[in-house]
Amino acid sequence: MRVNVLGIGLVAPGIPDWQSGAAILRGERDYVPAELGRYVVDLLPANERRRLTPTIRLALQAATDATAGRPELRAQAASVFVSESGDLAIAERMCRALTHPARTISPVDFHNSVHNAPSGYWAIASRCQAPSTSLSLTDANLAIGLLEAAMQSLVGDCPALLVAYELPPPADLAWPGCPSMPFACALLVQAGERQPGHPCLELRPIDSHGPSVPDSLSFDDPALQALSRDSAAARALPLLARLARNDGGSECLLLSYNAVLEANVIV
Amino acid sequence: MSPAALTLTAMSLSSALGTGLAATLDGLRAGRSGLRQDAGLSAGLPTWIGPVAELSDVRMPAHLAVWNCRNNRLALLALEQDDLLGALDRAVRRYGRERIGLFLGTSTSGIAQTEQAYVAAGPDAAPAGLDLPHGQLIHALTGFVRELLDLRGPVQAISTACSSSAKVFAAAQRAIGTGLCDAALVGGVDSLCLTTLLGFNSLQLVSTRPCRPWDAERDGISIGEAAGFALLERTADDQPGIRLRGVGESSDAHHIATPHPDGAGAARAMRAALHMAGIEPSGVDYLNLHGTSTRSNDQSENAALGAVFGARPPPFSSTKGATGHCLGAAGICEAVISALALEHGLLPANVNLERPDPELSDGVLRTPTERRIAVALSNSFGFGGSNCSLLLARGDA
Repeated sequence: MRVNVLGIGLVAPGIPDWQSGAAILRGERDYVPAELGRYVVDLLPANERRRLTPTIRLALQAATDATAGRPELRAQAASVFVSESGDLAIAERMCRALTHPARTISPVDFHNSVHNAPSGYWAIASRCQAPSTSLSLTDANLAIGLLEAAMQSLVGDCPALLVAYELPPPADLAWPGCPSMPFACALLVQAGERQPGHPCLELRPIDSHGPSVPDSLSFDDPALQALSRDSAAARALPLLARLARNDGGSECLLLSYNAVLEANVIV
Repeated sequence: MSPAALTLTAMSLSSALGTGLAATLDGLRAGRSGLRQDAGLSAGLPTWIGPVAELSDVRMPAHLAVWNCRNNRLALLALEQDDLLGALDRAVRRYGRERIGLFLGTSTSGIAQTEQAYVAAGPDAAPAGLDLPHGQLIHALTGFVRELLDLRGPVQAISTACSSSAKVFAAAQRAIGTGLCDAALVGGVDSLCLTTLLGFNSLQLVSTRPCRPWDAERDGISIGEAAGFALLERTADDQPGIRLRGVGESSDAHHIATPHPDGAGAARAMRAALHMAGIEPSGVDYLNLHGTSTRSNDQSENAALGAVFGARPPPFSSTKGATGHCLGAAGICEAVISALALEHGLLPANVNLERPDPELSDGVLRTPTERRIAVALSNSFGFGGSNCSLLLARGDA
């Protein structure tokens, strides 16, 4: 399956958007991890903006970034949101409320606690009635999400937006290997004929133990390397680096038991 | 790309109506409601719930102990019914383990485990014994089922609130159609827990009586739990069975918790399912409503009915008065009920209805009705404005 990459979004500590991220990935700028500023979701009216959580804002920031160059496609694109853990800060608040006699759960918290809350707010922000799905996966997040976006684009004959996002869980909910840094990336893609001026990805599942699995790109900068290993969503960094550098070549993403998804970048 | 022609070659359902297809059909024929009052399971709220009675007897096998939570035990209960495991076995031999996809929906997953840990710890201590990847996280459901059945194909855990386990059909259809897998186990599981009961209550969406969709006095939902599954395979020549002929998905783009009053997103999903199936609205013999029994859902779904079917909707009912609103499992619950309706020629009643709301469409089924039907449409609409409609048809239609 082939998809054209029409836009990319990236948000991580010290990386507020794809433009800065791409410069860092090309080595034009040092990577300096720094706390993310509070993002304002301009696409939403003020009364909706007030209800947002850090998780929702992070996902919307990446979605907005990836579609900034093609805003006219926002209302057309099917979307695929993938997150391993969703909004654990809300879950923690709701469960903590259970330890008090009144057991008061905020109604805003409750309707924001659904795994597809970012998708719902994105639809409102982008005025988009196209289908949207929200997935929770582990290491196969990106591969499954990218394939689902490609399939939605192919079947729906429309662009598709993949948004992958993770935040560190509240301390009480942490588990071994859980993310320690917020990270979100987004790809606006369109299946079909090669579009000039855009890189494209040729996607195909291959046997993970076969001879043709290429080595993944790794980063000399230990902070970037650490970021790329920190969460399932951040595993996108090697692929994003190839796109930033306009480097052809393949990255493989874990897909299933014995398969990886080969994403061959064609520039 | 034309959508893959798929058949439901096996299925199972465990809900408040009963465990297994025979018990479910029996309950539908009798027009029964599985809703109960149970203070222990309803967070002490004055509400009716749809519990799965048989769940208290289910034990997690020792080698899968790490996955033990109510949600996964409910999955296990349903998987062991109606020779679903036998059908899966045959599919594994036919296609290979790596060619069977797994697409499951859930909204609760094992959050009850986290809730219990917090309650046990109290307000001044940290919760102990948590293991989110095997309990609370959404993918704990697919993780468990994948390991239990040793499935090795692509996996999706879909969590889009009340449309989750309807959207699994669409995802499987795309995956099979594009060659990512050759067959798929689809379904969903949601279980009773404190945060959904208290959360819906905080939004004032929970009724203190058994829910009564489409009723003039309806005043909220009754939460249920359920686990349901279906095996989807490419339709072979002359193969009997219920076909997945169409799926429609859309977003409301209106409000995070309230449906669009005009039902525009819902209408869009229904039309898309009909269009994919190549069937006119007049060709639908039965419509299973999302029909949650809130003022706003039923009113907006009614507007969607009007937009799609005009003055002549097909016979329709909500089965949430029988099973409760099973949230992330509502989609599969009602898909299986619609498939049973097609297979056995029985239109389920909209139970608990006393006085149909005069502002809503006529045609709601008040009693279980024996009638051979060929085409059924099932609606599932969720928070976040996530809409999904499934069009099922008899193989000989």
